[in-house]
Amino acid sequence: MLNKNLIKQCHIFAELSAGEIDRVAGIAEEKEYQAGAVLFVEKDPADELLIIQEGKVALQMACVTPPGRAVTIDLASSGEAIGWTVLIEPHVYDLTAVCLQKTRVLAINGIQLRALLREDGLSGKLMGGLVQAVISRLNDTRRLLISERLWRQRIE
Amino acid sequence: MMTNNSVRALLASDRPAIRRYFQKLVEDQLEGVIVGESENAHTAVSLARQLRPDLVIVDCCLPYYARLVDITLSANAGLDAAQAIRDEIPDVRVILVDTAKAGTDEPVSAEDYRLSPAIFTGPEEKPGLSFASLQRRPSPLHKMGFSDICLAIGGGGLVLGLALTTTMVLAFIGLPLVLIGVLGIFAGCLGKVFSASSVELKPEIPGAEGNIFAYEGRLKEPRDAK
Repeated sequence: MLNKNLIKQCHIFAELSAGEIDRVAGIAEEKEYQAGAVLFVEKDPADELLIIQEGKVALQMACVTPPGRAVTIDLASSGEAIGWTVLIEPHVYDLTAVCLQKTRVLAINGIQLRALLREDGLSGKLMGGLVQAVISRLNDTRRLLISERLWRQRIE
Repeated sequence: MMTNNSVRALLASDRPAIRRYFQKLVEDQLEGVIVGESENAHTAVSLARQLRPDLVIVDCCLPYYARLVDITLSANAGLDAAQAIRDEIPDVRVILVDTAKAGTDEPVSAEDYRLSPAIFTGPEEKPGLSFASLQRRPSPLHKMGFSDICLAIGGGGLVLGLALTTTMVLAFIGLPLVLIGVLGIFAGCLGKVFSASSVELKPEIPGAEGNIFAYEGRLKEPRDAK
């Protein structure tokens, strides 16, 4: 049975009602991946929003130089959603997701989710949660950037 | 003893206890030698280029330069380092170990921790990137089932009851304890008999024999959902 609480506890869906959560659960399925598996690749079409039930996922961004190299810019673990660009044009993944552990996810079909948002007018509720999630990730990255810059200043 | 065929291993972790654990694994299970150690992703890749090891074991929680207090993201460069080494060094075997469940300062011993899956399975191991996780072994108490608990309580009750009974003065306590002890041992034995007849062993992953297997992580492949 799908874990609807997981959907409710996810930031993006926090403002949905119980009935709306049920509708989202209706277009979701559970999937399991082994450590090392790739959930999605940067620049691929975004067709699923994933909520992590168990495990840890590294989110990587490709480097411009050197080419072919990727850098881990964030980690996602239980309760967090990845693949947000399912909701944002042009619906293309902007990161690559690699499982660092055996990982179980709730995969929400992107096309059906966008249709649901249009039909039920849920876009406003979802966007609020999405903005919160983006702000949280942005602040984590900012803290890391500031700390590393200050650390480099101290050692030079 | 180092021989010409010894596996040459490079260890990468900013925690000495983790590096000692990896070292013991390499020396005991592979009769290998440690040719280098690094505390961050930057030097791990540099050393790998210089030393060209056969095997590199990388802590998933490796920092790029240094672990920053309260900044979790500062210590997650292990995957990046492992991928870079795998891409740049031909025929190297890289193992990325998730050590999140191991403490920062406490010693890591083979008695207390195990790698899952077992990463050294034999001479047929292939180069490439593999994933494993360091997990605390369950304590003997956690492994105890209902039958074991009954046997333990029964045995303890029986011994204590007999001891109290022999004092004569406390026999009124001892005799019930002896009875409880006998019942506990009986229940525990029954439980063992029934559970042994119904146990079904399943490998952790279909196709694997217990935990003895290795698999490789791949980049830019179709999803491997089950």
